[in-house]
Amino acid sequence: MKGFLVFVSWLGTALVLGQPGPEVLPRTYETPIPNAEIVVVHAIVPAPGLEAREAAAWRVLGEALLEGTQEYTKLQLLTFGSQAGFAPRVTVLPDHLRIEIAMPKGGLDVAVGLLESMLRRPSLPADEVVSIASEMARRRKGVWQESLDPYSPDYAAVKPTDVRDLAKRAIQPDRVIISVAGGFPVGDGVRQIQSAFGDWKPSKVSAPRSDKTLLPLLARKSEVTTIELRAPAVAPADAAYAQTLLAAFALGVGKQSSMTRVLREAQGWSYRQEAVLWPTGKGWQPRLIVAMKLPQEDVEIAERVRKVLLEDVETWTEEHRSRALAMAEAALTRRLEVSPFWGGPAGPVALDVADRAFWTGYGALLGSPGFGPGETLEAMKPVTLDELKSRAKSLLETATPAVILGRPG
Amino acid sequence: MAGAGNLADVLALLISSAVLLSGPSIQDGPKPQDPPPISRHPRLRTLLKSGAAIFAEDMANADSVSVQLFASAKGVEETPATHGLRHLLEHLLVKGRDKSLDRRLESKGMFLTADTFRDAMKIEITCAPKDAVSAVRALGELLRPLETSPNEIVQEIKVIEQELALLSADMRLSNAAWTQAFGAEGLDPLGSISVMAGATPEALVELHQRQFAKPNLVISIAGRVDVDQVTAVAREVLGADVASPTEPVANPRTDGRSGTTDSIAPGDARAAIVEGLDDDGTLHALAAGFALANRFRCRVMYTPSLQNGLVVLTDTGGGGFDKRIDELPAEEVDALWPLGQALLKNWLQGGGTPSDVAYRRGMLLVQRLDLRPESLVERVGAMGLLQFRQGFDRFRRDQAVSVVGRG
Repeated sequence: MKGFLVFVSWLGTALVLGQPGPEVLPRTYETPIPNAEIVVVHAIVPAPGLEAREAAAWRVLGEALLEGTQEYTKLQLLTFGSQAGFAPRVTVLPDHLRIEIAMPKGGLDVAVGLLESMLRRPSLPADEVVSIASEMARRRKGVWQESLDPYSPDYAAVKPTDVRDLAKRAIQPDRVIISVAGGFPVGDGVRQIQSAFGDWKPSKVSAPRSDKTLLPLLARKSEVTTIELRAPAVAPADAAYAQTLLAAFALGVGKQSSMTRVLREAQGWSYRQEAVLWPTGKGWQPRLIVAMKLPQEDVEIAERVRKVLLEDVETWTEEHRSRALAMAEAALTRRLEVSPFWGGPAGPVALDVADRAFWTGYGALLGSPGFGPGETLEAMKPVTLDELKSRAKSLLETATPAVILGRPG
Repeated sequence: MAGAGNLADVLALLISSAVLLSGPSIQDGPKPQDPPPISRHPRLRTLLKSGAAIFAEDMANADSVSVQLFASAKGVEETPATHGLRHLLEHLLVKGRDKSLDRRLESKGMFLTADTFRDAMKIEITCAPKDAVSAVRALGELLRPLETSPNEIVQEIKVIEQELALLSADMRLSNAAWTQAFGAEGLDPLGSISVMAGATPEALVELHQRQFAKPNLVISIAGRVDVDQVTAVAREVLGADVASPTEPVANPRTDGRSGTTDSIAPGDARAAIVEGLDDDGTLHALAAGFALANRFRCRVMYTPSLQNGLVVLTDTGGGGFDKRIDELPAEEVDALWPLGQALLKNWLQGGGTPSDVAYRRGMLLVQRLDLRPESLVERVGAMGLLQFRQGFDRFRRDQAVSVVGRG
């Protein structure tokens, strides 16, 4: 594995400043932002291939990482790690997890020190692991969150040793990606990471396993049914990347998107309906989700949603394309509340310092570290109306439906 | 001494005059000793005779602008007979002229959202810096008399019914806590479908006139803007600046009642009863709330208010976090003090996004014209350990509202 020094400018244009360097692990990327008042270190840990019973342990691991390390108690981690006003955060997704620590400008070494300790020497105390697993088993997700994450892994079966073994398998220097962003001089981010992690060598672990698919939730105790049309993930290297993302904007971003105009305004079927681009290890996955309170169970509802959206695509004009592009520009150059680019269950990623660290790190996970928001937008601009309609139709026609039926009482 | 001081002042004046008089000619170009460019005010608060107010802040490094219109609920607070009419009004109003506001905004990548809180309604447009003036003008549309029809009301109630069905467990727990603490004065602003079903266009037009009376209005703008320019446009949008004959008066909420109640939602909630942001005890409870939310991985809910209210902690897992609050050892409470202080300070003053800044300023300004985050941050900075403990104590079962989820 080669180390790269990639500088991502404030506007998101990636410039490779250095040639591939000597063998350096973990892979590290930096985004200096001259005016930023904070610095953020962001680590991405891909899941090592999870068997069904390990899916729960993986989620527990994410939360347990915040329980402290050999050097820091949980409270110290929280207190030191919250000096920029944001507590350290771990986001767990089925195929990767991410750790994020922010510090005021000048605190890069502290942030890197906390991250190094969390990655290499997490305490993972057995009693806390058991307590977290039991708490997670009880935790109830909201309807929308449940639709985004329709799985209930078996937390009761999680053993502290499973979590420790998983941590050892997953958190290896040749697997972890670290992205640093914020107010520091060019080169400092990579230097700090290399200085803290320079002696970290991969240890011998068992070979990656193949993922076993969890069974999704099919019904919930609620009056709300959620319907999803899910398309395959796209990465920057894919030919249909730009068309797919623009189609997601046209279909489900904003109140003039097809989903809101048709499902909410014309049909009165729903209040919330959105296109979400979900971050997976293979790319952004388009997920068209609508939440409906239905008078009775309706197993055909997904097909009705698909049908009315396909009919709407036929009516698209240049105005629809330019609106979608304007909304894409908003999401990729500034904050947009309804941005479809979700970082995980907590919601959309924006372009602030923390999220810039995400964009660079996630790009690296997809094999394109320099392909950030600016490049994505540029790739979308030449998409024609015909290409957009064709891609949207194909996306809708081939999307897999996933319905969680609401069953009140 | 006085004489010496005067002489020094005179000398200083003479020296600076000499510098000015012998300053560089136009041909000289800038020199290192040139005085720095004049700093412009980064933020501007304008109080109009009509009672309305404008706030604008230039965030030079921001990539967007947030323009927010606040309409205070003073004089139109929820009652059982009007429960949800403000929410219905919000849905209908934001469609704008010819019901085409969203279409016009989104064609430029601008986006409108709206929220109805107990103390105010907030309508926000986020946009690129170049569109800030258009955004302020777009909000101006919402000050014109509402145009709606019975059919539109029926259609929108269907959408609100869907919205209510999506109410999160956290919100349901919080609503139960509010009802326990304040009864009918704590009604949630989302409303009741049966009350909304009785709404007429005329009643909503009248409600709009009352809620959007000038003394109830604040326009709050933050982002990369020319504060003078956007303030001038906001002033135009707010119309004739003459004193209002009558100022709406808030109906104060009574003191909250502690106790235990239940909810159909899953999980638990624990809420501290607080008096409003001008009371230091509220800040202390908020600091404790932020720290506890981090400690127990639960959620904290609070809307900045000058009214009696609640700081609500919710945990939809139902893991008995409220019991753990009661059993938290004193030394652990003390250890949370710096964390709570840091998190609360960040919430009050954190750089945040233009949207955060405009919201914080606007929400405070719409309630009282002299309420500013800086003074709140100062008071949080002065919070001692004893006061933090007192803030924590407000979450103890005997002082707080407890909600037991049955879901």
